Amino acid sequence: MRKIKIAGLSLFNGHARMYFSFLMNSPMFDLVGVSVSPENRSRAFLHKLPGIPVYPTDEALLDAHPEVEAVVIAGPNYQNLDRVRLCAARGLHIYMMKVPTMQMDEYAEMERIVKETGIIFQVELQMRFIAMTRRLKKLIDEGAVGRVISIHATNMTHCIASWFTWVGDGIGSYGKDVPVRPGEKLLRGGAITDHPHIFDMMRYLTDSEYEYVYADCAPNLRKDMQVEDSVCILGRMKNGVMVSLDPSYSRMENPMTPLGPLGPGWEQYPRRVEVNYTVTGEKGVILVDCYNSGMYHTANPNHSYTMMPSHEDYHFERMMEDFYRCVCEKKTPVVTLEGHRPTIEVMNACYESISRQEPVYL
Amino acid sequence: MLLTKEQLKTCTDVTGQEIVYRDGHYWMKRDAREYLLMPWRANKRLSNMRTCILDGSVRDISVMKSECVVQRCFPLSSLAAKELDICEWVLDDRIAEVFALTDETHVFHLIGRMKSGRRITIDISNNLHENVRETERHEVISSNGSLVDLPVGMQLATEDIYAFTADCEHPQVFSEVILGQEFYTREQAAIIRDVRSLLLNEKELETRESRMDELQRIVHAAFLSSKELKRKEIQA
Repeated sequence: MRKIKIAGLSLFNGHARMYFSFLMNSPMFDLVGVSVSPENRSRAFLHKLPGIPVYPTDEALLDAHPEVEAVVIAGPNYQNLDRVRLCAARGLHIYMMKVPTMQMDEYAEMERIVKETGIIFQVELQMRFIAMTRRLKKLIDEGAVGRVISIHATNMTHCIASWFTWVGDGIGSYGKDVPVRPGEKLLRGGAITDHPHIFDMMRYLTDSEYEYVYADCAPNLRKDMQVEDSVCILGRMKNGVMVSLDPSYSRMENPMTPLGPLGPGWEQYPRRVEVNYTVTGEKGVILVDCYNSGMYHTANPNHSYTMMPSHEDYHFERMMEDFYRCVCEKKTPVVTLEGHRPTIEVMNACYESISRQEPVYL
Repeated sequence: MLLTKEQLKTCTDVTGQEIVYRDGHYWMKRDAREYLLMPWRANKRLSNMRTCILDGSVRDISVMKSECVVQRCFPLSSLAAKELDICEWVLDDRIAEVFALTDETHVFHLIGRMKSGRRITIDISNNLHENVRETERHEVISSNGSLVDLPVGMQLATEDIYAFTADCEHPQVFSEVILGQEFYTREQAAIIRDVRSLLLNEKELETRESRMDELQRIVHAAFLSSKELKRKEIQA
């Protein structure tokens, strides 16, 4: 099997360690190096990457390794466009974290670059690969509950802003400081921005696009965080399916120290992630818990009841395998930049709705 | 689960008051008048939740989430009224504004703003078969902790006892309480306890009629909100 020479640009993203753990031992990829800026070095998980060269800038990494064919961009959202420009200019295929950018002018610029250069650009959306959503989609398509009337979905998580500070920063996450409502201190860039999956899943499950959304923002749970952490959304798809979405950071966490335990100890609420669906059809109801598999313990460091996620379904690996096939066989990824656009648009529509306090049509 | 006629008659016999089921609610008939029963207020998990809020154990509440997946026999409007009452009662707060989406038959989704600025969300689906046990989940989320009445990670409410007997394909299940010397279902026990508490509290008895009117006014506003796609303010 041919191995793709791949590099990691920035390790400053919550999902990054999942990918790099896989890349370290993959038969498909040869991880040749990573770039980590000196100021972020202490927050990265370099101890998990023994023997992998670390460079202080993306340019230094790519100059030192002209053999690189593809990259994983795993940095703050606001830096993504610059990285896309850099990599596309060198003809490198890109595996991008879930939010390429929330700024639609930047998004259009990325689309133009990808189209002109012809590189493979895959957006990571793990819910498209997870067994539970695939099975749910199959059940819906087979008519298990008849015509779908409504989907209530949650993507409730903890917040990693104490580890990766840009996540809790208006510019770092959203690209600019925009108050959620006129005159308020609270900024866009929090729970909605960090949870594109739930918005994408409604498109995937219903085979339809959003008609309108109404969103509201509850008082923030984390009083010292700049961006919104508690939101609720109602909407309707163009095919008539109603949706009720909760992408809040409502699973409270202990502050994460940069090199602290990347596992037990984060949680105040026993589960750090909950992704659930209630699908109501004309003939019945389907309930789904996508992260049901866990190992429960009361061990160190807090001796509090905690679930350690223990997925049997290695969806992060499958996403990278899909990227491998797309690069080798010049195939179209499951989630392209263009295909992801309506999801980013509806997330922005939610912010508009919070600001205007009325439904926003897409 | 909807009580059977026999179970309802037992409630009548035990309390000495005629209990009837109408329009999705249980009512107590007394002196030619009907009084709304709110058996959910006798639900210990919900009353404990309310106590934790009233005594300040849980502070800086951001949102209360209510999710119900119940049987087809329960009308949507009565389920909505029940959940609205639970939110106001548990939070000891009043709903100031609602935005809702509903098909008026099987699903009801609501975002509400409370007088205090907290938010509530209600998601109801009533398309389960009559013989399947309903699942309800209420969660209060605050800066210093969460309160939830379904075990973390559970999609369905569990029973207290599962008896896998020799000749049964499916287990016999029991979730009961004992009042006096007899076994009652949790639903029966909640009704009996609510009736008994009302009989001891004439003042509360008198407010039940007006309470139903208040709740119906909010439900009506929610349904109107869904039709017009507009937020609706709830006048005090």
